[in-house]
Amino acid sequence: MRVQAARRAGVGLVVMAAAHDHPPLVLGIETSCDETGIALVRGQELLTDVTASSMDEHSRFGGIVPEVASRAHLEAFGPTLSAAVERAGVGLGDIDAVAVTSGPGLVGSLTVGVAAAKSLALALGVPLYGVNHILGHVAVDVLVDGPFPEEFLGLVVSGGHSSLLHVRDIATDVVELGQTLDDAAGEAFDKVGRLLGLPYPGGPHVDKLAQQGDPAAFAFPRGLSRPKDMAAHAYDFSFSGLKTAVARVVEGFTDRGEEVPAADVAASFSEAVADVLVTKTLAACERHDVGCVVIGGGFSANSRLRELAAQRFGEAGIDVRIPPIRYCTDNGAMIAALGSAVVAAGLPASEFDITIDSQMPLTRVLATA
Amino acid sequence: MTAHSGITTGSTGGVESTLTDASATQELGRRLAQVLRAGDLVILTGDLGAGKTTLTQGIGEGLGVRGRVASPTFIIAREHARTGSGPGLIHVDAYRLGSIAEVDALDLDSSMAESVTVVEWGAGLVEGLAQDRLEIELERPRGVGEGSGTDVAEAAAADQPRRVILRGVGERWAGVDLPV
Amino acid sequence: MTSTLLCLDTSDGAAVAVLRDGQTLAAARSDDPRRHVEHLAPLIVGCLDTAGITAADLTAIAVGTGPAPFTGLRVGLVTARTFAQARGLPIHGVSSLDAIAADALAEQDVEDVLVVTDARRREVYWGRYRRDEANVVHAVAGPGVDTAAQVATDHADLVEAGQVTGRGLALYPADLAGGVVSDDERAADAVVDASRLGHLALMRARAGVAQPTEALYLRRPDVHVPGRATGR
Repeated sequence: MRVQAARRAGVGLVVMAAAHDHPPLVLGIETSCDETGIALVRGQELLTDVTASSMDEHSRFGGIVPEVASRAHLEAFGPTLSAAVERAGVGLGDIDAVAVTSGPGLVGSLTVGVAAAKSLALALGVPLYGVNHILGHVAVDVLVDGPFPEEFLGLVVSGGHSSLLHVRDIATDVVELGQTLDDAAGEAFDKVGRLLGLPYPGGPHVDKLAQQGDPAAFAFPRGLSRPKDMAAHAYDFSFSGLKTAVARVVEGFTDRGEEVPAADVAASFSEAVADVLVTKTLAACERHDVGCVVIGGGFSANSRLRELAAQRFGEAGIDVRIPPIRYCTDNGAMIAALGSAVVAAGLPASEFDITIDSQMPLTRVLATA
Repeated sequence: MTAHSGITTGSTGGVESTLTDASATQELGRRLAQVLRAGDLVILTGDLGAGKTTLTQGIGEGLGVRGRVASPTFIIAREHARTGSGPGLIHVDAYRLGSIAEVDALDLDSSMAESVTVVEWGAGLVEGLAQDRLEIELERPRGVGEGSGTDVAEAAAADQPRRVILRGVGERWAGVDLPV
Repeated sequence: MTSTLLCLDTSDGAAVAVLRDGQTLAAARSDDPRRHVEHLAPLIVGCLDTAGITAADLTAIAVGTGPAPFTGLRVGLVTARTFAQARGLPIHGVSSLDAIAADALAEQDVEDVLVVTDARRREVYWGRYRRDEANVVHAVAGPGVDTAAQVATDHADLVEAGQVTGRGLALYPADLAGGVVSDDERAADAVVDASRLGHLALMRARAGVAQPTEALYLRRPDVHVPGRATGR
């Protein structure tokens, strides 16, 4: 049979009515990778944020194993939902809307969260919003640092993403200025961790090692920074050439039977990544005359990026907002925050036939069928 | 290793050539796209930075598929829908996959039958996905010369030639003129 | 008290039914073997509408637990579990193979049947069933996963007698249709009937049988611990 989209009339009205008394209570569900995150947000206030992770199961495999993650999401979903509701001191019946990550992410993992979100919205008779994971990494900052300025840049850096956004309204007006053409920043860190023989995930290990090294020991390349690249790719990133350069330097030492100066390699590599991210973001701030940058995503935990951002943006008089690390990694709060913004903007609820989109583009806040 | 089209027959029975730089790698991908058909499996082997994703970018461009071909490492598999009458592209990074069961478990929307499937790090893992396959080995120069610091990092960053070996396995590839 | 049961199965396509006191009020299915996450919720909405009820009228949930391809199976399980949690309803898990067997034996004049479904990777999920004197269908062997040829060898008696049903029969007729080529089109395409699954759940619930909703994956995620990571 051909499945027809079930149109649920009046869904938007439910939320509008709730908004009359106090902001609606939005439940956010995040299952794009290995964390099962569920959070409750009312307006711009975070009530609770619960995360279950299957990382321990993955770390011994040296990477996320999709099927392991998907199985873990299925088992963790119910208990995580119960814990979130209980800790917020509300009942499931108090929820006014359900927001869920529709993409980008792992297909199997996204599928569990989206199916659960649809079921919950259906069972509770509330609207569903399938939202974009990457925008959630920016939206979450409102819960920590308060309302956004009228205009700002968002830099989202993680294992899967490196994107620079120009944001006027997180729910309705986001323009993508640039993104990675090959590897994401966090992915390059994981791969360099692999080269240096560090445990998975490599990012935090490389970061720690880098703090003992000399960032000027090796002048690693800054991708897409030469004048000829800047015309077409002023705000795009490339970390593939950097990764290759690191590989060859490491091989040079091992092939000669010398010890790899791992701390210096890590420090110089970290410097190259942080430098290119900050330099390009700063250039975009100047070009678009924007005075605020929000940095999100798991890689914003990187210490060199935080230092360099504070220093260079500070010198330029640009306000930098980076949420605490627990809100930079994947979590339910980011999706609840984005869902709350989408509800507040009065966007139409998603239909029940929305799909998951493993490569959901930034130009879309909401999922489609 | 100077000429772009230094065609020789590889000692292992494949076709071998040298790719002077990243754009030559992409160009090979574009030419490969001319011989690739729906249902084909391509397995890419090579160290980090050998040019596996770069080659796939060329294949994607040659096939004229939708979306930007970038590293699929984070999401394991990325599907690029076809735009014309040709096949789509399924681009997989199998590095984190433990077994063939998981390629199935990705539950891709598009089936292999209607796409060209390119698998990085797939050797020894995904051969069973199809009857026949095209194996491509990419080899970049290892290491850098003596020295340290800035000079070494610059030398390592230079875009240097890659060696590529193409080897068709199975009936599908019998008598097919592989572009090099 | 009236019992109103929502029945879901995503072991093949997506199948939904609503039963009130054992009577089917609505049933719908999508035969797409993928895209369960898109199809299932609209099917539920459609069935509730057809039955003229809302989510609040349901008194229990029944769900097929597989075995089945993993991603689709999880859609049914997480949908059922979450729905039950949200409404505070009891939930019953039923093997999808049990439902197919019960269906086949209800309509055929034989006691035994071999159920074979698509496990992909050129294998089938299988279960061997028998109907007893009390007309209750029991699993005799399985569920398992294997090549069609192996299953045919292990259950040659049923294959030769043509007492085989399920999608696997249509996929591997050379192995599983045996000497008797089945002309039973319905059997070749037999998939889970959500109403039948619901009836089984109700019957077992009345008998006090525990009905967990654990997924019947039958395959481990078979991950190699990477000694290989050093070589690449």
